[in-house]
Amino acid sequence: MQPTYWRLRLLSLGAALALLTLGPCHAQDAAAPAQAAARETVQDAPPAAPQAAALSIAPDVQPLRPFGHVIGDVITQRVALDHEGRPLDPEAFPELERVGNWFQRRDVRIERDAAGRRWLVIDYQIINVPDELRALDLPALDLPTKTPGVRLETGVLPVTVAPLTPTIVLARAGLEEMRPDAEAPRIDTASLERRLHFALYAAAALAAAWLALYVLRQLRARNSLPFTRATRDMRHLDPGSTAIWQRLHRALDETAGHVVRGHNLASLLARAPWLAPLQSELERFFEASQKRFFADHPVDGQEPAALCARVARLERQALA
Amino acid sequence: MKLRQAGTPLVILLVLSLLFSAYEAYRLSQARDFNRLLTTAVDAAATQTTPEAEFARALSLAARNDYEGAVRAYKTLSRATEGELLEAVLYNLGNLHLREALKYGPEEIGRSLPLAELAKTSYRELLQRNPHHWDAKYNLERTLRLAPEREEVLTEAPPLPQNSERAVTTMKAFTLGLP
Repeated sequence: MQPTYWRLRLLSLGAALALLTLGPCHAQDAAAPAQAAARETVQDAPPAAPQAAALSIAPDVQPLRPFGHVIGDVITQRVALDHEGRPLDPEAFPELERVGNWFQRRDVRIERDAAGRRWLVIDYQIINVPDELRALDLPALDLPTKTPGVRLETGVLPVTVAPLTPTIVLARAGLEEMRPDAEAPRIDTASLERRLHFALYAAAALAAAWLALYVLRQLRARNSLPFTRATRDMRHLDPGSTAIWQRLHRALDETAGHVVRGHNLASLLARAPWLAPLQSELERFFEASQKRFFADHPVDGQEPAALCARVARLERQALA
Repeated sequence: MKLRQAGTPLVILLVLSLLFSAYEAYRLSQARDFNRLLTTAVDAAATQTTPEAEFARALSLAARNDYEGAVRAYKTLSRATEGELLEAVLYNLGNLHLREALKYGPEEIGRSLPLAELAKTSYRELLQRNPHHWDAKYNLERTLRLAPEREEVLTEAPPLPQNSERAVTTMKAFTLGLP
């Protein structure tokens, strides 16, 4: 009986050990499908709100020449600012800065083409050069737009860039270690000559205008000023005739606006003060005229034509 | 009476235009003198006060190997000029630095590197204004041969602001050879 009990005890102990070691494995095996199911559930479930709204748009990008570029060249990238007919506006422009080893972003702007389509235009300048011809990547863009959750994304654009000079310079004419200095620029005399000509033409035109104005004034004076007209008329009259005296009287009356005689000469001078320098001569004229017409007394030394010419000169200086 | 009044402004304008003509004639004469001297005696031309004469002075200083004086003259000009003259100033300034850098060469990179960086800055500023300046392209490339900007170095470094200097030797608060 004794050995039988020992076998039974060993069997039960083995069974207990087996249960202890296999239990957790079973538990893991049982849990694994559950965890996988849970992961699938999470993946299938809709993502969190911000991720749900994120939408990357690959806009139209105008093709650019991908070859034949050298240092200093400006490569212009044009990205369409619309998607499925709806306009898109970038939230902010990309920074104007060095982008990587080869390019500098020089300018960013929005342009509208002939069809009215809006483009984001970005100028990149090549500011570094590889040792030999090489394809370089124009940077990709990832720009947030003003439309919430919508981003504009473009891929890199390969362009080939080649050096202008060999590593070791040829040292032949024009291909030395460096290009020479710019010479001192000559002053552009063409623009100065143009300005001088313009000023001279303007002066000539003004002089001509002034001359034309002077002639016009003289012509008008000849036809409108009383003494000037009288002087012209007197050329056709006999110097010793009575008519020449009368013509001067008429010019005096016309200037004063009324009949003038020796006693009211002051009223004429008040109306035409430019006659003041000839006041004494006018007084003598009236005195002589009085004698000639009313005393019937011949008068010597009085020349109405000469007096009229002097008065006409003053008249033109004052009024013409 | 109206015709008489119109005469006065005409005379004033006539006098003004004659004065302006005289001034322009003087400037034209000065410019012609400068251009004539430029082909025979640059130093004599540099005595005038026009920006072109200042440029000639800087050129003359550079020809006499007065590096500091020429740099000062070009820098002053670069702040006061525009257009083609500014392009010529930037180009010659770059050349001035590059020529100095080439004197030391790659053997004395500690001395040539800061000068090469200054040359690059000038050429790049010029090429930003005029991307078709072929002499500047050529010389910038030669400068980059002397002081290359390798890709691997830049990809590790953080992005630099515009016109920043890459050479430690030209940065503020750095002195080579000191702890």
